[in-house]
Amino acid sequence: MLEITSLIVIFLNTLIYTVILALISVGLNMVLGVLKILNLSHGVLLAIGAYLSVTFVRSFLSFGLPIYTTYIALGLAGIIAGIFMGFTVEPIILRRIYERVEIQQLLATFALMLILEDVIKLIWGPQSLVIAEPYLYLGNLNIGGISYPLYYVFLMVVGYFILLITYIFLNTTKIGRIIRSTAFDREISLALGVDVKRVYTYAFTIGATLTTLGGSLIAPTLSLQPGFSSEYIVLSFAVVVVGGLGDIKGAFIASLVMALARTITVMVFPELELAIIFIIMLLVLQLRPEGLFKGGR
Amino acid sequence: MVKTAYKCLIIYACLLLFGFFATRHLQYLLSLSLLYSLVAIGLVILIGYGGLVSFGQGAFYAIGAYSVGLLLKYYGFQNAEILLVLGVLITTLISFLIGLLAARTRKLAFAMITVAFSMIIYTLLVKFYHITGGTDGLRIPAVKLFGILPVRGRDLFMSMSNEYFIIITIFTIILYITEHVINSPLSYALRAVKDAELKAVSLGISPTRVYILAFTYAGFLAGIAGTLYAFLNAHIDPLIAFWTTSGEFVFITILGGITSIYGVFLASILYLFLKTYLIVYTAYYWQFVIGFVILLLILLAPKGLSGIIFKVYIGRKVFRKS
Repeated sequence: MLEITSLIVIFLNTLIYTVILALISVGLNMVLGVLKILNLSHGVLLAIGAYLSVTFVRSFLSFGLPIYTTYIALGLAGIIAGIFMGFTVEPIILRRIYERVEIQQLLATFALMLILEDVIKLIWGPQSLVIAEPYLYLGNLNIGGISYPLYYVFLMVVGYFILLITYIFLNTTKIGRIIRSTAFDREISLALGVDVKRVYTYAFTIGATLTTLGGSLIAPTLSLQPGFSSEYIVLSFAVVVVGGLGDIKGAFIASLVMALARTITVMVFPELELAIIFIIMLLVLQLRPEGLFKGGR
Repeated sequence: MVKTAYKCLIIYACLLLFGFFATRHLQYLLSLSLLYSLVAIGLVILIGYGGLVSFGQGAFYAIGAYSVGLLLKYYGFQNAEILLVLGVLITTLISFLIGLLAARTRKLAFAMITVAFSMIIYTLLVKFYHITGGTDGLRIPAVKLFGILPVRGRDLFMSMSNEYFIIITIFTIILYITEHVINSPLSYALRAVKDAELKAVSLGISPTRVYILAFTYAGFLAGIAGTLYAFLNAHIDPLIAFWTTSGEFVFITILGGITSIYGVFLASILYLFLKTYLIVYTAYYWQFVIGFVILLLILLAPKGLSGIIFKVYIGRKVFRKS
């Protein structure tokens, strides 16, 4: 029943879904690992990246620039959204709640999510938005009779490239090492002369930028509606839990596992498509309740 | 205990009096806030006394509502009291089973298990649309309670609507029971486990068992609220199982000051009326205002609404429960 072409499609779908999940949850996990806050508003960053890229792509096109420049617009939108959110949200709001009990942190970021979602509606309006130009421009790839949108391949390549750069950045550069050491032990880093406040801002900005870039990459494939991001945030919770809190490599591997489970379930039992992710999450929480949290909180 | 009974009777009398004169819309809003406060009272026991944050109460609310909907649609039960009892039983059973899984975990892991569970319920409700109606939801026809009283309508005294009467009666009974639960050994064991788990264990308390009981009770309350919601609203959709609904419940609990059941009662009324009128006046931007209020409350008044009220008007003496 399974031919080679459908195997290739499964393989591609898995890799693409992995990169989307990984971009969100690596960002979320970075914030969780360094700032020790589970940021419920992280999903909105995805939406902000997506919506800003709508604006950028449209204005690029209205200036009469050729369609291939819209890919630059997507990247620019993601980076600008991430940096802007990073340097406003962390110093203004998150910094005030580090010392609070967990539940107040959760609620504060929940409030932030509500606020940001309505800010999106305020700026871009409540109707759904579509930018299909970058998606349609690349056309389709023909895999043994099945036509596959080439944009997904583009998304995959760029996404993995971003993840790779992040990995190299965290492991080889000085700032990356400082961020990791702060995540590992805040007090010791403070004692060694690390400006922890600034590291928090940087870590949040990097995490936010990864997610906004993810948002701008998936924007052309979706019809954007207010609130579409609250589904992605719970998906990334699942990934973060399965991969281990604060563990960035774990988040990537977990994204792969989740994506594989999802694509297989879509083929076998489509009704359980999303439920399977949360079932895995529940099982992992049951079977390794403490082990997963090692190194995190 | 007599004092508790008087307190509940006074509240019941006030609610009845309100029902005689208020418009049907106001009665609907108040009924809905009573249902929200039922869920939030369960969370008071879980969060306030047990220290466990559940982001999955929306799932139990939805299970209660959907058991009514599905039993009506597929098995043709026409008696509201049977539907109510079955809905609550199913929800309590499921919350007991989830409690078995969740009670071993604490803090963030516990919150995550409840999120996972509520998202499983949500996705199942959405994806099995040939059974559950998917995102369109289910319509609930007006069935009769004890064969005489329709669950929706205006057959009662003055402007009192049936659904409002049923809901305030059940709410008052639950309030009375919950007062007893809060003064029971279970609640003291729960507080002991929250404050010092190891010490509680050495005194012979089993934290897992206590947490399972508390979780089941919270699920039981959410189940009652859910089944009544199905009767009240005539239409149910899967969004009530989404994690943001559970977030609303947690917010109401914290707004009410996490340890006070009368605090969450006031908080849910305030929250729902605020939300409804914000939707009326600002259309799309009610979340902005609510989020802004939550943020300000957290940054400026970490003890919640009852914390402010008691600090400002009544003083410390009355506020001894926390």
